[in-house]
Amino acid sequence: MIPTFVITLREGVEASLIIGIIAAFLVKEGRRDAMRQMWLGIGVAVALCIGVAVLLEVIGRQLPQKQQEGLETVVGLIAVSAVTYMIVWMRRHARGIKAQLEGDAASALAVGSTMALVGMAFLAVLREGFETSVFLLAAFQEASNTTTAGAGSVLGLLAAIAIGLGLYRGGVRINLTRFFRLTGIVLVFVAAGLLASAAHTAHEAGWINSFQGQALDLSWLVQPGTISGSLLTGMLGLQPTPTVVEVVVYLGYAVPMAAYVLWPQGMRLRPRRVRAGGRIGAAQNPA
Amino acid sequence: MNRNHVTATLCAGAVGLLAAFGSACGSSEDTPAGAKKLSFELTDEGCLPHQAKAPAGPITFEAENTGSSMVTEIEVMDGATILGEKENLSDGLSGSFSLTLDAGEYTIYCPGGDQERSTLMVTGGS
Repeated sequence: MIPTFVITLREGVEASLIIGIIAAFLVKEGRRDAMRQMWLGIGVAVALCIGVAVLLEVIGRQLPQKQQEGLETVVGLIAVSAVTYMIVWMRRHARGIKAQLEGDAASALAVGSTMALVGMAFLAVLREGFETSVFLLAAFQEASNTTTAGAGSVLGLLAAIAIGLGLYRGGVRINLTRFFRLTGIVLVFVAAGLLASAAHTAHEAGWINSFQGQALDLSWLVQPGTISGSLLTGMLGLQPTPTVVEVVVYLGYAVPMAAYVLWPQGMRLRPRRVRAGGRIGAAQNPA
Repeated sequence: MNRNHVTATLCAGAVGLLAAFGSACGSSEDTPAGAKKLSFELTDEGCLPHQAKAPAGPITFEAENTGSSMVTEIEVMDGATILGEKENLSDGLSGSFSLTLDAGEYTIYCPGGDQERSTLMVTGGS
């Protein structure tokens, strides 16, 4: 059961993570209305993936792996820019709302940005969806023990969904500034991982063939075939033996972006403000 | 924002992608007639056999996982370039792909196994 469990977990957790954050973000921004569009996008993507998998099965063909890797690379890069946009937006926004009262639903997200996020949710599912659907069909039909293989793959997918859901629940509950700060950091690592896995899939698509030497041995951490290993690969884009290209793009993105997110807010821009907003200020004023 | 517009956009995108995949499949590497078949087993030791030989020309690679949870992927590489691969082959699953190879030494790469790399010698001219 474990072998198929870890594969669907790995393939599904990234999309689940992105969708969880997008959903929490939309709710936080008072764009609950966009949730329906997001679910619509996800539904269409899932239907499309299953449709393609069944079609390939019926006509007896295999998923063209090179094209699949190419698709994963392109969508991965789009996802990196979308996530980067979210990080920058949150950073600016978090600074802006410091002066304002929370819950003021400050600057509402522009319609264009909302649609971009909805599109991102769609693409996130599509990215690994084809491969996962093909794999699911195979697990139920061809595996040496179809019952355990099928059950494992379905449970893996459910576990991936549960992680995204948990993130969403947690994200909705905590206050806005902390949400932005925390998700900002999480998103930096997710985006850096996406960039590294885009470099990985670009190699498999035949687009990048240089600097493929092994840079690190992380196989003690990212153990193939284990749950923790597939979570690390799925959520943070870590490979057991990352190549030079993967490490360079990962650090090249993660280091400056983490500094950007963690840099004390408004440090040089303005002198420290009295905390006017929030409950502390409100409680102190009458006294 | 009108929902119909969104639906239309999504559906258009979906159809476009389907078409792209359809054409990709249409031109895909179907087993050419007279292709030499090479079979590999994915095991915890890596891909077996560790030494394979084939004449230059079209080759169909057939891979089957015979009980490994560590190795679920097989790649045919020329130096650092991946020529063909199959991923997510868990226990009992099999897959195939075809390549046309010139004479030379190639690497069969199966990440996760005890011996990840093995050799494929392609000989002669066609």
